[in-house]
Amino acid sequence: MATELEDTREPIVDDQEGPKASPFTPSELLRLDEALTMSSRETGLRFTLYIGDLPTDTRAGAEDLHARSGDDPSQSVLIAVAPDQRVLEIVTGSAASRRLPDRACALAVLTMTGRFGSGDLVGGIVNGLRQLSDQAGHPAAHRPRH
Amino acid sequence: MTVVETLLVFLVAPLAVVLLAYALVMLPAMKARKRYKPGEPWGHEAIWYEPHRPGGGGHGDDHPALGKQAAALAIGETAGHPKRTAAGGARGTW
Repeated sequence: MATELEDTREPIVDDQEGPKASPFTPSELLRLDEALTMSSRETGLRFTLYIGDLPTDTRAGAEDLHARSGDDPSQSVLIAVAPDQRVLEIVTGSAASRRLPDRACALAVLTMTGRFGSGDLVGGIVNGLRQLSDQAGHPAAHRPRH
Repeated sequence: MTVVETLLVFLVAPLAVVLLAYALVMLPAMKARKRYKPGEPWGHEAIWYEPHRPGGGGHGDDHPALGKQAAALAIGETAGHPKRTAAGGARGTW
């Protein structure tokens, strides 16, 4: 398994078979993969993207997902997209929220929902991620100066 | 040049070229999968994408808890994680 996974340029989710395997084309998956990985690498935060139904209380559902987002939730940013409910939730952990204030998240939400409204899910997500990572900046810039 | 020849050269041949170009343009678009349209049902399983690790590897090999759909499908089971980790964010609809 490791031999074929050494170069991880492939889409994150690619091991599912069947007609409903992925809602995105391989090129779209590649764009999402790159956007997630690059924004996480540039900022030192951990961006994850959830696409699917949320419970009726979408905010609580998204926050619940955030709590399970593995590793260190305080550093992670969850982008939850519910296409059926037409709701987008961005949840930041405590450390991430210092670099990504709610106002910055709201701006990204505005960008993303604008594109979602015209049916461009991937474009909206990629642009939103770019905006969020621009806002969060590089972790070196946030270290205390000596 | 007979009438039939004239019709073939000046009517049927250009029409064939136009139809060929039309088919070449439209066929791939008709074959492409359906795009998301707001208001239409999504019809896909919940899915959770995560970034690759800085050290390579990827594919969630060292943390099975958040493997692909596993965590996504566990929505609603809040028992294991009572702790609230969210500190901020934003919400929007479209």
